[in-house]
Amino acid sequence: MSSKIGDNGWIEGSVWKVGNNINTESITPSRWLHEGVDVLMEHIGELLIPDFPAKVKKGDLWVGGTNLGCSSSRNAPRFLKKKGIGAVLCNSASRIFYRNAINEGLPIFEIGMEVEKINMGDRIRINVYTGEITNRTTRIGIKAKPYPDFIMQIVEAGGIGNYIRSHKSEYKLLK
Amino acid sequence: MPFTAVEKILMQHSVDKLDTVSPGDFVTANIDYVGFHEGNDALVFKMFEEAGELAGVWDRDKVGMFLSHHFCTGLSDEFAANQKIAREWAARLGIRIFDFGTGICHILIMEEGLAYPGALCLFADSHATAYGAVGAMSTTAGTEMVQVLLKGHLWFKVPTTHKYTIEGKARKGVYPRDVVQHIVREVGLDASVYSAIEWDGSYIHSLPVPLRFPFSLMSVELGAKCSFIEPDKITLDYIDRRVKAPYEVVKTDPDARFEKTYHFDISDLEPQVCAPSSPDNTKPLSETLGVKIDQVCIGTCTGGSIDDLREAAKILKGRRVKARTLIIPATREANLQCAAEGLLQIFVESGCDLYPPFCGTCQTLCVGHLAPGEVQIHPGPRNWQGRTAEGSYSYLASPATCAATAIEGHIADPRKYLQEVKE
Repeated sequence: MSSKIGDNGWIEGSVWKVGNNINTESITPSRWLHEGVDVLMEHIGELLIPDFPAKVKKGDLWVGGTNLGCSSSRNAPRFLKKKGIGAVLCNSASRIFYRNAINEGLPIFEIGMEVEKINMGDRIRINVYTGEITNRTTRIGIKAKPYPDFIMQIVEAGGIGNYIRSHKSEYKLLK
Repeated sequence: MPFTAVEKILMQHSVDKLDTVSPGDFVTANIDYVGFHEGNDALVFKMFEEAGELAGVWDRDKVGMFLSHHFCTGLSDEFAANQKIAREWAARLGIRIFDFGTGICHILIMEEGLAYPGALCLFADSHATAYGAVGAMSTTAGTEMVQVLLKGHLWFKVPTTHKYTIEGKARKGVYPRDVVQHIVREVGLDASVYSAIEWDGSYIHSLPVPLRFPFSLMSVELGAKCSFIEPDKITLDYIDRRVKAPYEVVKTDPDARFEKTYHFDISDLEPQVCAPSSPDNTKPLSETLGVKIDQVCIGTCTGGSIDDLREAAKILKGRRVKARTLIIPATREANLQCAAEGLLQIFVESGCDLYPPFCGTCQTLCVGHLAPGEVQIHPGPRNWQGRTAEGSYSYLASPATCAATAIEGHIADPRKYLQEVKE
């Protein structure tokens, strides 16, 4: 399998876990969003996890409960990715958050109640192509449903912008 | 095979001309109208620049840019510069622009007849579920709007459908805004994640179209992908002078399958107030009476229609407000109607301040900023932390409850003022 993500599709990081019905305002508050990206990056997620902006490391995982990223359509996945988040796992995602993540090339998997097997700070290894998830802290394995091909292509391209650019001949309105 | 209205709309718009779909299927579908506002369009335009010179959009008549959604005025040099870019792009691409003063995008799309029965619409904002009020299927798109602008279609997952039936006649002082937040509390914010919500029942079909917006628009507060209210005579009268495109009313088949069904009888419901800081933290008004309020906003997408403003004016007429009170009609049409009916006079005489149409203080992005420790009440859809300054709080209530609260300076019951109104 050709792979453009991680090490043969594997990425690994520590877990930052939030609860159910976490809305995008609390991840990327309006008051910081409109101060510009640099200021937002200093405050992203702090309403939920005060340590998050200072301590998150590249490749870490954002893990949520049901209806993750509900409410406003602001592109919270874009900013989580920019902050270093490598993948998102949740019980269920809000539709807008889910599609924003795909379109930013940020892998996101809905794993239902299996998310209960993941705790704050756990080390998680995840394969973006196969949906295999290993909790290295608890040694528990989880299986997420892999993406259909056409979604995988967008994720693999790094988001919809890159995807369109790499398929420019199909877009007659682009010079 | 029976289908829901949303399934039929997706089939009718499918690029592959599908004659059957099931929940969970992926469908690529042609779009009838797309819009974006000042909050998300900056990202879209940035992507255009990154992706190369754009030669045009797939159909300029099916695209609109709405600058008067979150803001009613410029805020900074940078903001003004972004607005200038947006206006220049609109001119270059030949797409219609709805500039400052026009009002809230979702309401405008229905007022302008851009969403209509059977249409498939997208907007780069979460409350795009609103156009179900006129029998359209509408939902949100983010940066993938670039794909839509270039090709006119997008992929969808066919949603399951949940049916919410609301029966009964509301008591005096109880409005759709009360009913919808009661329902959000009853079923929860994740009751209908990724599903279509079909609103039905004698209560829904008794309402004028603008008072159906709280249900269709706040469907997203229940997690829904889109909403649908079957067009009836009231709908067709509303859209008659507005819609120019040919359309055909789409209805759910009588034996179509719903994944979940909810039934409510709201005959005994009292006014409801949603307390800080989540749209499901709703309580009966009686439990919140007396909470001190610093600022009242009467307006927003779920409280700024002419029907809403008339109710507020009934209560405010001949009285003075104690809290600072902002009147913000949802659109210019609502504003003009207020002027024609003498409501603006009532508002100013009662000590309220008039603002041009836009979102209002549901997020304090350009007016009505709160200091830490201050509390506001408004009829908008959301009161999450992060939408106003840290340490400030928002209650949500009907425009009538907001008006009574403005008069007393603390959360108050609108019914005592309505008793005195001769209708």
